[in-house]
Amino acid sequence: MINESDGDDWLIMEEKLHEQPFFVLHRGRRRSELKEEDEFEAFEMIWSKIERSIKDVLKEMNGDLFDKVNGWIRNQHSHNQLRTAFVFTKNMENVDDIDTFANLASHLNSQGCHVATLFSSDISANNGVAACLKRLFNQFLMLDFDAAHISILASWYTEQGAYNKPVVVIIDNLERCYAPVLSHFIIMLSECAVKIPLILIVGVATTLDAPHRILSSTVLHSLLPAEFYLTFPAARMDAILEAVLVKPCAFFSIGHKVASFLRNYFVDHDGTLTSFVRVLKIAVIQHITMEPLGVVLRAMVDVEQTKDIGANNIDLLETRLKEALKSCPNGNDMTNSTANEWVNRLSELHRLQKSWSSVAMCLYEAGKFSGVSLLDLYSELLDPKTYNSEPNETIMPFKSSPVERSSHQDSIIWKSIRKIRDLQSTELRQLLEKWEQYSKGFTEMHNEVIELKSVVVNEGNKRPRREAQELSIHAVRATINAEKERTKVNEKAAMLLTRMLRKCVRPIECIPGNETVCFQKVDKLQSVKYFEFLLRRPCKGVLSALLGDPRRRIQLDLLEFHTFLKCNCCCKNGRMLSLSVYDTSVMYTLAQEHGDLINLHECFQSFKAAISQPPTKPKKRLKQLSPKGKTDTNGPAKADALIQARFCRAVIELQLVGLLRMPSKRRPDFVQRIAFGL
Amino acid sequence: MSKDESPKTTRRMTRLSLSATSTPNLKNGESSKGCDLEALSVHDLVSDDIPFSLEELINVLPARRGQIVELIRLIGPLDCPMNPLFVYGGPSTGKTSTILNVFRYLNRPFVYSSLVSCYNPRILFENVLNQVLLHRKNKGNRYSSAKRCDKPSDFVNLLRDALPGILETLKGNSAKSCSKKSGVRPYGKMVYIIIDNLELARAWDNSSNILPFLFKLNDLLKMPEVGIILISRASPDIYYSDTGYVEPVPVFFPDYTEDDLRLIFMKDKENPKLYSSFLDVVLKPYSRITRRIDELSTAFLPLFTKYCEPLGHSDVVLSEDMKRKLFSHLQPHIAPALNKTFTMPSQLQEASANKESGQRKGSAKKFGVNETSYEMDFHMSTSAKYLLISAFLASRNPATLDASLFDSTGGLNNQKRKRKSSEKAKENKEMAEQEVLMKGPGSFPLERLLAIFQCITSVTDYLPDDEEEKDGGHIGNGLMTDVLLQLSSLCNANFISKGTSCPLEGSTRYRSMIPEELALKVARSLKFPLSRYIYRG
Repeated sequence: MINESDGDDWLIMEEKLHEQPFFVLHRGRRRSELKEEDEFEAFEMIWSKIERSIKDVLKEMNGDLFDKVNGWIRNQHSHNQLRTAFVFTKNMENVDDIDTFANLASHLNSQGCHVATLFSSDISANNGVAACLKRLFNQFLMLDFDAAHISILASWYTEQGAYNKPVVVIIDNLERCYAPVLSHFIIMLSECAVKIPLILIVGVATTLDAPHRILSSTVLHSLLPAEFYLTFPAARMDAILEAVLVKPCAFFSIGHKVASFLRNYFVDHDGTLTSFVRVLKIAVIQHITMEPLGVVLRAMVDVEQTKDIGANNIDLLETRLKEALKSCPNGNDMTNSTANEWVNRLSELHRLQKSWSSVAMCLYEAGKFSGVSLLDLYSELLDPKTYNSEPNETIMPFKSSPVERSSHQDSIIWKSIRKIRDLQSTELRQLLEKWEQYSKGFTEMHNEVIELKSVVVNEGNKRPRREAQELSIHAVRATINAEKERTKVNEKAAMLLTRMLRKCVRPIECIPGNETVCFQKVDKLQSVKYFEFLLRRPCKGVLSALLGDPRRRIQLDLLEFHTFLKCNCCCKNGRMLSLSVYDTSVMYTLAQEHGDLINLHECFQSFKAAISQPPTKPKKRLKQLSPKGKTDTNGPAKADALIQARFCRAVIELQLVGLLRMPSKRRPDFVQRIAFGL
Repeated sequence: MSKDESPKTTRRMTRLSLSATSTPNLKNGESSKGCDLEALSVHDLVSDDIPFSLEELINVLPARRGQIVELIRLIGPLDCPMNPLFVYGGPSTGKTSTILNVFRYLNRPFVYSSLVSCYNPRILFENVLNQVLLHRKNKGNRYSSAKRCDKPSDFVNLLRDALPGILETLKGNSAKSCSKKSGVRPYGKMVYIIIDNLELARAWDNSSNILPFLFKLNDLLKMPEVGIILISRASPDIYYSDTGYVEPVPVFFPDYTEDDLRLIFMKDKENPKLYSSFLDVVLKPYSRITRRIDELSTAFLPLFTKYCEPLGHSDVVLSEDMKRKLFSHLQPHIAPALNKTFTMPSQLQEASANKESGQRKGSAKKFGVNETSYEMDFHMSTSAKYLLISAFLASRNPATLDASLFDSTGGLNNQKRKRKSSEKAKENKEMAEQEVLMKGPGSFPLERLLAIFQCITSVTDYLPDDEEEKDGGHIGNGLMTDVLLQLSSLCNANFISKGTSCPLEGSTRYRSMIPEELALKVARSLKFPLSRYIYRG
């Protein structure tokens, strides 16, 4: 009995610990608990859909490379050199590559290789080559060695019995490794490669000559290199953008400001998909929580998952939407007619979105010939300014007056359209084939594309006969004629696209009712507050803060908790510490009283005093639940343990946000304050 | 030219590779279960090759006759105690392979440990003990060593305990072979311990203890049945810090001469005449750069195929004319290849050049990404690019010039001064420039980097006006926002190196590590006029 209840106690404590932020939250917003649950579900659903399609896109993009690597592993053999694949990841930042290499490892594993992955952090000056081997054996042999000889690998391999199973070692980032240790490790591996089919895969983030800059000639001579290339991050980005936003995958879309924020962030600052995905996630969260009708998205996704939205199940959509609208905050006040109006608006919005995305993709296909990236095109297409500035009966861009032309000069849209006119007939045919694909389900354009295509195909058939003719004046004239004809077709194609553009491509912000599906508040992305991150489960706390809030912001948030907490005690007391204050805030407020060194023991005592000042609620519950016999001896100790755990967590969180430095070896009892003042 | 016999592939016959023979045996289905591996015996310490003569041995290592003879003399006849040996010479001069082949020839039991794979004393000691104790690591013993041994003193004791066992069997063995005369060659009654790559121990934490210990090992063991051979790239002078022991007998392996190289490369060639004429062309220029067999053979391989290209497949008689033709065919390739010798196995670079160009075309078509972005091999954010350029400038230019380069009024002053510059001043400038080049990239504090960064980003104002307006200014000053983050990624990518903090200023100093070409490439992708800012004296 006693043991059981012991376990229970711990569970409760853990739960408490885990839920503390929510406890605070619920005090503040008890009214909206229900709404929150709804929001959370909606988020989960929408985000999982988006996430899935991102994963699919990446899987498809990487699949080709993975197969190539696998084929290379199987095909070539070397007896005296270590076969090494350099995988050029083409991105200086390696956040994305961590995933890529993890996927590669699992792919190769499923193809029947022994795979071990070493992170560049394992190959550091501090740990030396012993750490590399330790990790290696840990993954292959599942054993932990303090000091191991590389020959163990060979003994282990012979014991496995399968002699054709390659042994693959993956190192994710060459540049981040400590070169001398890496060289030593590679030489060891290459000695081992005589005995067993050992293969090394090394990720290279930067230039092609990076391996030669980093590794010495002795090491390079022991390698038999091969090279593989990942697609450029910009290309991956475009693919993801296409899958997630241009073909709206969960009906979620973003406004122009958000789009250009994303674009600028990608181009100017980060260039990783990881952060792009993270911003997108924050956008989805923000949208669902901020927008009163955000939850409606869920209904739309729901319906779509049952069946593709068509004329036939528009009724289903209608009913679901109505339900969703009812559950909205002021949904009950909504009359039936306004609900109907909303439903109509939303289905119209959905229809427009579809045609928008087909035209946008057609435009992108045309733009590809002049090297336009979807990211640029997307943010330009969303710009309400381009839409509004354009007079309705616009002249074709190529006929427009010089002044107008100059204003169009930078425009990617017009650049793409202009390019259509210069295309060769084969290219044009390719383009039209693509258009045909994209315009499916958008009959208006589809028919015209097919018509145009037939013209091009006919012409293509005529062409060879002409080429067979001798070069005479007649022939020259014929080619000139053909050229004219070609430009005619090209012009037609360009005209078609322009027409469609004008007709269908209205930036989403200009469509009424867009707020439901479109996230526009770019400022919300930039100042996602520390507390909001901490309190919201989907974000998993501080670590996913995207832009890295300036420390000042975090400090402010930590100190001015009373502005966030809407409970009575905190509103009244201002900065006074009370029970509902979040531990990290308590800790940081206490830290203010210290200099740059904080004695942990003292600080713990004051922390303990601060959080147990008034008879605490958790303690009470604890006492009630624990059996009477045991309470006297164990109760306080456990309460202490709980406080200690909370203390530790608070300290660690402060370290994570970069406000504290952990105790050093020299002063094990002190933590160091890093930030002073605001 | 059979590939297996090329000198390149006379790979070190280490213990590891010698015992590699167990794998093919198993492959033949002799035993499918790894756990059934039979226990090791004394025979495993001796390489069971077919006996071969001294002449054959010298043929395998053509340029090492002197060393072979000397080694055999120093090791002495069967069962004769020997002084410890110290074998040294440059890398890739055949030390290890000569020693191991000599032991194969002599057919004596030996224990071989290389400090490459034994990267700390404990592993070295345990590895030697494992071999002496005939211990095999397997799943049964969780791949652990026979004895745990951390300290040199323990090692001596354990070795003393372990050696009699093996010496007993050896004695028994030799008695048997003597009595039976069954054609089994005698192993003798001695065990030799060979420790390779001794120079690596100098980097160990406790090298000041371990190195003298290894030199003293013979004295400490006091067992005449054990011979110790140390192999090192570094000469003995650097080790002898302590004279309390008998200095080992040094055996020097000099670098190969050009004739030696010719002998080695001519070994087992399919078409000796052709290869000889090829060596006439390449050996001289190459032997000035490197005499390492491994480097030369990788360099020669593609060159030889190039050399043979005009011949086609037919067996042409090698006339002087033909030679001249082949020479003129090869000549343009030699000079560029010379530069690559140290940097890489050349197939990699060629492959990379080909692939890259192919890749570029392919992906440009496929993904239609801006052509200009493909000028760079990899993606870098705009902010990181500017930061890299600033770092390059900060390393390249003297700090005193910053004001005149980036400040408009300073620039004017500078021009005035320029007009007045005399011959003398010019000379000084040249000297200074020379000095800058010799010194390499300079280091700079973070503040200077940030100042330059801010200047060049404001000069180019990379954002078109309208866009800035649209963004509501939030990213207008945006390039600055995560500059420290970018700096750390640049450091991680090895473009900027972070030095230790300066003792005088107390702040960390940085240094740009990129070549000018890369900096120019980055600048071009930004359309930034970098050359205008580089100080050239």
